[in-house]
Amino acid sequence: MPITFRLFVMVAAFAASQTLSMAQSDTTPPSLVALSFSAASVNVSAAAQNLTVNATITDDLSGVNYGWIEFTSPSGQTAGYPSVFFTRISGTNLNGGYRATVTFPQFVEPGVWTASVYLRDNAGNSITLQSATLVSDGFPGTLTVVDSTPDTTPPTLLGASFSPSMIDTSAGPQTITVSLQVADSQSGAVFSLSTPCVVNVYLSRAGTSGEYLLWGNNFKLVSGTAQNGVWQAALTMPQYSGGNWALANVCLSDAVSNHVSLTPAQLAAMGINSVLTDASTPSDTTPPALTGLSFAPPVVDTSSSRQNVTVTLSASDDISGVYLGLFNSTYYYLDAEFESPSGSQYVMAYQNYSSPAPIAGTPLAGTWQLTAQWPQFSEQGTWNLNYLGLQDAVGNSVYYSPAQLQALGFPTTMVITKPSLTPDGTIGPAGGTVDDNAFGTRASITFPPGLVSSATTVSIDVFPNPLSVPTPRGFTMPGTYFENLSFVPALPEPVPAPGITVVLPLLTPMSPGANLSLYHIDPIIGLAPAMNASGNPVVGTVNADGVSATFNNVVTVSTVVAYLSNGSILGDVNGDGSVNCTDVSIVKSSFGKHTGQAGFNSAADLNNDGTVNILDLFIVSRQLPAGMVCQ
Amino acid sequence: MRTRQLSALLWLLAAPASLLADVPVMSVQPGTLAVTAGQGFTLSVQISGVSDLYGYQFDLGFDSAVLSATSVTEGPFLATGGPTIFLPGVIDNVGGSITENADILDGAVSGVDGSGTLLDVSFQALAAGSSTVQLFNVIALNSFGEGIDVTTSGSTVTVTAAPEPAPGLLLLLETAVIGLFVLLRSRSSRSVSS
Repeated sequence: MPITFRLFVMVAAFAASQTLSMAQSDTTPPSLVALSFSAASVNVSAAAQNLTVNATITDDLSGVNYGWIEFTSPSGQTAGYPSVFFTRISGTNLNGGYRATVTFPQFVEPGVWTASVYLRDNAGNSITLQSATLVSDGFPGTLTVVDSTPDTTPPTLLGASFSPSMIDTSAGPQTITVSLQVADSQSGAVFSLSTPCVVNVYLSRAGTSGEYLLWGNNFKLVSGTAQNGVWQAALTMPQYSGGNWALANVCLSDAVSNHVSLTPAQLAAMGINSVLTDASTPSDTTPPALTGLSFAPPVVDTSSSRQNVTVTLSASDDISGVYLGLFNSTYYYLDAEFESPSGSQYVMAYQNYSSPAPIAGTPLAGTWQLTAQWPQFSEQGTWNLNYLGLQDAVGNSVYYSPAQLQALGFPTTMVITKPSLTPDGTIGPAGGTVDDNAFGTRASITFPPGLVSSATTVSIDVFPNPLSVPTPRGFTMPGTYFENLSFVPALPEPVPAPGITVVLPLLTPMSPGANLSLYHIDPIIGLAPAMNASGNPVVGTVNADGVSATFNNVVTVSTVVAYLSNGSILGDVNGDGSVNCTDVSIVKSSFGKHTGQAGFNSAADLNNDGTVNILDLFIVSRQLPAGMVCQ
Repeated sequence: MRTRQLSALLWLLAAPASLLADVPVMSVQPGTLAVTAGQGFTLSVQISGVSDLYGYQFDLGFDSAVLSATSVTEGPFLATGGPTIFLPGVIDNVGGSITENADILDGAVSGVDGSGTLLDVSFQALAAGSSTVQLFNVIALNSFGEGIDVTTSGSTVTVTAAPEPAPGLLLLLETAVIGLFVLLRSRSSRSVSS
């Protein structure tokens, strides 16, 4: 074959592979297929009226998680605030009939109200369909409201106070009462979580990040009526919350969602200057500090089920101690938000409602573990940590940006895979080869006779984009695509000797006979050298076609990739040309250290994951010459 | 047939937990312990039902207001597979942790199977209270470098205040001391006068 033609074939095959998408994730939101209202208008002049909304909603893969509909008046009032959720009444979460009942209270604003629909699937994909979109899609997007006695003015704050207004939390927490006198002549004031306010009172402490919140459901009407009455909420001030606490914001809403948000300046203009003074000594005015952060495992596969990732963090606080739960109606809590590659999905790691005990130490200096859960079919690729927040027991809070976390040497990414698991073929007890349906012989698996006792279905998924896992030390870059190998029934781990033969497609053409080292992504520990049946790292060679490489006797299979060596010897930490006890000592002396930390030696971080640990020591230990004993 | 079903059920009931469990268990032993403040004691980290264990690493957490760690020593289990590289963890009695406890076999050998003690940790009870001693950040590897899925269980150490001498006993001692003093003075004055 002329060399020009062979090169043409190689380049054409390479170019074709670039356009193939072998692995799929659920990256599309649910679809609204049908929508109808039980009436085109409602008349609330005499009493509240209900509107029934029917919808048909579909989703392609993960299924509908939830959805809601919201109606907004010409001036911004809303019905059923914050929204009315759809309830499935027929079908499945992939194709179901849904219903929502929206109540339009008496006194709401008359006119043409616009509808909007929000839909979200189990993978976290969401879409908001505004009124104009609903209409253009052929659905009803508006509703006419008739009302002869509308209420269009928000409530009025007549007074606010703390009782007592002087406390001392030096010896322990103290509970105070916050009172608000509120008037709303028609529909009446409402304190609940279902108003545009949600949070009605913010207290802040001058010069600190400390902030307490009182939510709508904290308040109770203790005298008068909703049209003119006194509402009270209890607030427990934690120990060491010393300082002057003032109203930073008061939000009031009525039954038809007219609402007003009052700033400190507006409150002062109204003559409302209430201050709560806590004489606590000491007083905690500084937030906690993050001292450690890690995620495990670093790579998860969401193709078969949702996956939990353990977030371990260490933190310290000077006086009141780190607090990871909701307290005193404060909304701050420890949270860490991950964002998908496309920005359409989010995963939170958070601790809510109650603060867990640290798994090590005390709240003043301890370690905690949280769980972040990725839904099944989550978007494949690198998810970035947007921020991480911490607070202490008196509400001082701090948020770390990704740049700040990286400067501290902490991880800020998670890698999510979602192979399609589409079968490419079956191999029985007699052995055989299965080629990938898209890449053909460039991506294949071969079982020797007798490896399996029953027919085994093989799924080969070549990821179109490389996974964002660090290239191990001693290697320059991936030479092949990342490829997921799945078997039904699952193969034993490790695969029995003599193992299987894996052929991987190269990212770019290479000279036949060149060597590449095979790695695999272990579901527990992440990227690690793939081993052969003798317990040695697998090194393969580029095939004669120049666009694929073959790796024999592989016993550790999952997601695999092969790297191009820079010529160094695996496990030779100091680069002296051999693996010996000096290399062991170098790893030991840097053991437990991470990037940016004093004592961290990047040469000892052989898997380049940012931390020197047992995974690096394993690589060195396995490469020690027979009989060499290191302590 | 009925007899066979019954015997199978009895076998299942009688079978050791390790035969029924797929996942090895790494635990802190004893699972519960009661000590008095000031007392020293030792906890062991053990593993059961493991196959081809080549190396491990883990952290231990405890309440530093209740306990203080003093030392970490290697257990005998992994060394049954050959020479080991042992790293006792770093003790932090402020943060309540012993981090990066690690042990790994030396060279290209097979891992160990079965159950045994991985390491021992000595503590001193500081003050009355209760502390869990928990395993976290656990990594266990087989000789092919694959992660071994393990479940963990910790220990709960209850510390009671050191007992003070009872008031009645103090009174008795005081009486005895005074009596002895009087007796000695009495003998002394008699000897002078004679």
